[in-house]
Amino acid sequence: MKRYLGFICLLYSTIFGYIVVFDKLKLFLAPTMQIYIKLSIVPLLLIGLIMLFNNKVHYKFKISDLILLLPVILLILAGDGRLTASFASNRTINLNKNNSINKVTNKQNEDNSKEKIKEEDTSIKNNDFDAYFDVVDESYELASYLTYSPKADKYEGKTIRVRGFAIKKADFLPDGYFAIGKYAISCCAADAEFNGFISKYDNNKIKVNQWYEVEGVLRKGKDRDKNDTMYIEVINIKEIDSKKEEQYFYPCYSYGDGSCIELLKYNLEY
Amino acid sequence: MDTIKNISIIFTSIFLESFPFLLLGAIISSIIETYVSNETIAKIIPRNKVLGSIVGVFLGFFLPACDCAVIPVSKRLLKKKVPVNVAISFMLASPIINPVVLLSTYNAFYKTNPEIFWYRLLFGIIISLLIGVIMGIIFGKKQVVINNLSEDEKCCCHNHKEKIKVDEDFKDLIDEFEDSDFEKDCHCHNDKHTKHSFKNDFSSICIHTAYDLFEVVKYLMFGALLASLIQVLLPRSVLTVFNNNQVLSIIVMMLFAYLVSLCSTSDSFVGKSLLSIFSEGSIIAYLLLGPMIDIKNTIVLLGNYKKKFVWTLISIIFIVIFLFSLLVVKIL
Repeated sequence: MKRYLGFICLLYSTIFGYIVVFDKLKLFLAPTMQIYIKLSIVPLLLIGLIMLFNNKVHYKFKISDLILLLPVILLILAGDGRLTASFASNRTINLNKNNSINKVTNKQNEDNSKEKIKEEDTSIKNNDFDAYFDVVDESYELASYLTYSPKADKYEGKTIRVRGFAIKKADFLPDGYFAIGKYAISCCAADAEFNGFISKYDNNKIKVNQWYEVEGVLRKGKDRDKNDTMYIEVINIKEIDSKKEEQYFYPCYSYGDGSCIELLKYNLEY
Repeated sequence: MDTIKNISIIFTSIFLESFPFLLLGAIISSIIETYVSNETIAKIIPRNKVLGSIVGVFLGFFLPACDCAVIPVSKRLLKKKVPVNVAISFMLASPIINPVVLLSTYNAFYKTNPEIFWYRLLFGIIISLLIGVIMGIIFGKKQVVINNLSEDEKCCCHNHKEKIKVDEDFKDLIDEFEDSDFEKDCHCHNDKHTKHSFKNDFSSICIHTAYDLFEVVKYLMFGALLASLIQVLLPRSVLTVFNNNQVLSIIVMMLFAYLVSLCSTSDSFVGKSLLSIFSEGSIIAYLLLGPMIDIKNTIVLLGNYKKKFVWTLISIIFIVIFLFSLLVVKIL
């Protein structure tokens, strides 16, 4: 067993290789952190080979060394690697209010002309449903804006399309409503925070943790603490396959310059 | 089953996030072991505790890694007879003031709350210096590192305990260490009596890296598992119970930083999301404490350093950061 550490190095480098090749790394790490795992594969492989074949290695195996196999066991238990809704319910939902969308975005918005906005409006139209807000990953911070910005009510009546998973229990969610959203991560799954859009539909028909595409109209309402907020009055809702959806989105402030390109076209006021 | 799955995912993410930095730390530690002699260190490190701690902080700036990577490096420095104050200042400062963490703090706060960025930077430096000096005074000549490896395992090259030849100018300093109860570790190729060759050095670095890495990773497993359990099972809503009281909210945020064990490269973003419900003073307490100590690193430290040393360090970190955060509350 004096080659145990060599075996562990090779095992880890194989696991890292597997999750990189099969694109599973994004389930655990934000894109900015993925490079470090990729960079560690080759050194780990070299160290493993030397630990296996070098005569100077005199490692004495101890029972406690079995703990080094824990990542393999837990990787198997992680299944498809998707955090479930119960994790979201246990956390303070993003209460960033206006801070969540950076002021740089706001400043850049001021430079956008109304004509440009009109152009953008037509570009996001869909054949079946004219979604004014078509929420893609980079514009997911709209959830914070529409929930907490005092100026968000100017968007009452605008149409919106969102894809995400449903939760029914959250700090900000009034009774009888559900939230559709995603986890935001800036480094790894351990810092995941749920960002969601308050939505109104027959809650009995909503399954927690199920992924949906929701289309609806924005309406004025109150959150759990009776603060003004916007919510989606659902017009169309359909179940979608979670495996085809990106589990996470990455907050604007983790892009470096603090701006979300997708948000600029909406000319949001703060 | 959902809970087990979520715990497994959080554990795996902490492991994947930490491992490359631990590997980097272990490689740096092994390079120090192979190429930097005790004699060189005695020449470089000032004997004055304050100046030594300043050097420690300065070194911390150049290790572009989170709190995980500094543990093997600081342990190696202590084994190389670097004074406690230098190693501690380095260990505490590096996860806060290194360029990667500064950039993420800048992105998270500078546009909206620039004072948080500056307080984290300045207080990070001052607190690291202060705690380094305090720990240097308390543990100056004592052995604080535990050697988990057997005599055979310690040395990949040759295990001997020859007296190190030093210049007369530095003899006093070395004697001071020799007289102390520092264990006289084996040493490798840095003592000028073994020829450097690429093959020898490379295999030596690889073997030392593996030993250093897995000595730390073993304890990381327990720490990451505990942090995952807390992340999944502890409702965040308990934090908000105390957010109306300035003093209690500082304590709560320090405990929060300690328990959730977030990487110092990402804690700014979580801190930003809590800014609307907690005062700036308590957010600064959270941003200062998390990189310096958390439950994951406590377990790693307990596996590698003497218990008295670890608990003294943790207590001093908590007290000093609490006092500095109160100062921030007064100022803001």
